[in-house]
Amino acid sequence: PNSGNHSGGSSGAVDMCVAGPDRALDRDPRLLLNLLTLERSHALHTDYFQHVQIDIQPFMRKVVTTWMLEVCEEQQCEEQVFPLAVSYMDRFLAQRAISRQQLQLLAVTSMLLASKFRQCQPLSVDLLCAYTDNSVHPNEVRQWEVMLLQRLNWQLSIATAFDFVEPFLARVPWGRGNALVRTHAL
Amino acid sequence: MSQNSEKPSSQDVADPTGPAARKGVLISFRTGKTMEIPEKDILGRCRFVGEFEKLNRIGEGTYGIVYRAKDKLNGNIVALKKVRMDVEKDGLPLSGLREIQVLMACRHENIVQLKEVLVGRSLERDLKVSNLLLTDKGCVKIADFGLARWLGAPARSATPRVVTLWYRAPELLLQSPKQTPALDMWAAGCILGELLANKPLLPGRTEIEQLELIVDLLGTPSDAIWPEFSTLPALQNFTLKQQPYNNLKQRFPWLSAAGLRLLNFLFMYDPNKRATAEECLQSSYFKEQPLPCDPKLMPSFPQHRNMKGQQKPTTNQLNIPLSNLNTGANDQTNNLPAISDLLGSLVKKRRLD
Repeated sequence: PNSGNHSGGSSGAVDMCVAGPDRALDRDPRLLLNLLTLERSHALHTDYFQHVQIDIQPFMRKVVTTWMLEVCEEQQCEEQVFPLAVSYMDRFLAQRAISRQQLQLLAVTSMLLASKFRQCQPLSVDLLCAYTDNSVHPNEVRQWEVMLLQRLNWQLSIATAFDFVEPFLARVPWGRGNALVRTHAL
Repeated sequence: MSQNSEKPSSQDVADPTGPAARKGVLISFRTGKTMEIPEKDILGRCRFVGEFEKLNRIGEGTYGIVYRAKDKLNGNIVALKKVRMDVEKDGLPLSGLREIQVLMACRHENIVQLKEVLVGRSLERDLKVSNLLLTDKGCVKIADFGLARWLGAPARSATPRVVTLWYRAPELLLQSPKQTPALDMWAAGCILGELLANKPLLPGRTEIEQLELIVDLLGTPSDAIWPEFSTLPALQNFTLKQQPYNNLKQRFPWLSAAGLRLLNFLFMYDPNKRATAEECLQSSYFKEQPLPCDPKLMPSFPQHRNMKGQQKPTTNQLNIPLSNLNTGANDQTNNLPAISDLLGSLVKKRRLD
């Protein structure tokens, strides 16, 4: 995967409406239990580089995830979009072997779904394709979107490490006092 | 018979354009030989929409059309939601995806269950009477999570301007950036009021009129009762009219003190002070006469939709929008005069009992 020319340009997709911590949820002990259950049910049990993939190597995953993070940062995506997209990608890779030429297509599709799930204004297919230097075609993304969803059993709501930060901060007395604590926890 | 996890040979991954599902190795149990995955199974197994027989149109929402349909395999009656895809250059619509997430996580007798996604957790944010369904067995079901948002973790960046105007909470009308479950509790208050009054409580036609109706009913809020009030974005441009009185008691003169307390609790201007769902269940309103009855004891009613044709009712799962309850609120096209009469008398009966 190349890092693209970033012609998508200016960061238009800023989410303006941000909700603060939800006190009703903080108080509820079911939140952590649900998160733990959710996390457990989606944990990957295979080393897919060993057992599933033949073409994809660990360093390729590193290259493509670095590219994903760059796109998410430049588009000022909601902070959960990146970890969710990586998680979708990993869950897919644990099931199906793909070629290295398809890896960026999978990454784009994962970011599309993650941004639809988490943001007011999702990343557009055209924008994402532009970030691939048009090596990925919008039609492919729309086709892969359905395929990825089927592979994920339509289950987009999964727990990432990010989900645990707020509940933990709410449970310690110093958690909310200094905004830097949260920044460094993420 | 598919062995999806088997490592395919390297030539299988050579084509970068085809869908990856084609690359799996399929070994036929009958012949023991490898075979191509049939075109129709590339996306995995989902049922063909033709296995459902459309019976009638239940309603049309923002994002698609809902039909009452019969599963030809087992005769079950289901709701079939057809999502508009005509203008989706960005793939599947976000509302549909989120709705599926919420429905998959919800297993509750009061929520319409998700059976199947056919290709071709939460803030509901669109609670309104036309999204409440009443089965002929008297069970209320919530439908349409198209605008629901996942709340597994702290809610961030929720899409603004949601919720049908009449049920919209003041913080949303005044453009507060924060959306909490308290939004739904405001909507619940509006629905309770509508059930008690037999007509919509705050039927505004514009956002400004909606705010005025709220102020007429509850009085003008202030920083004293709602600390963030004067900092809300919308109030930087205009001021609300001054109306010092809470008129809930005038509006519902027959309602008991506990009932008024519950309504007032649901209509707290400050979302932080507003009743939570759990607090509502503690309300003494539900402990005084008339007591809530066991759902099994709710009056049942005949299944009108089936009567239109000559066919006999085949099911007990017929969902009727509560909105046909004299509210004029519904966007439903079916005329169900008898049912609205029946529901109207049901509510009145409860009030008078």
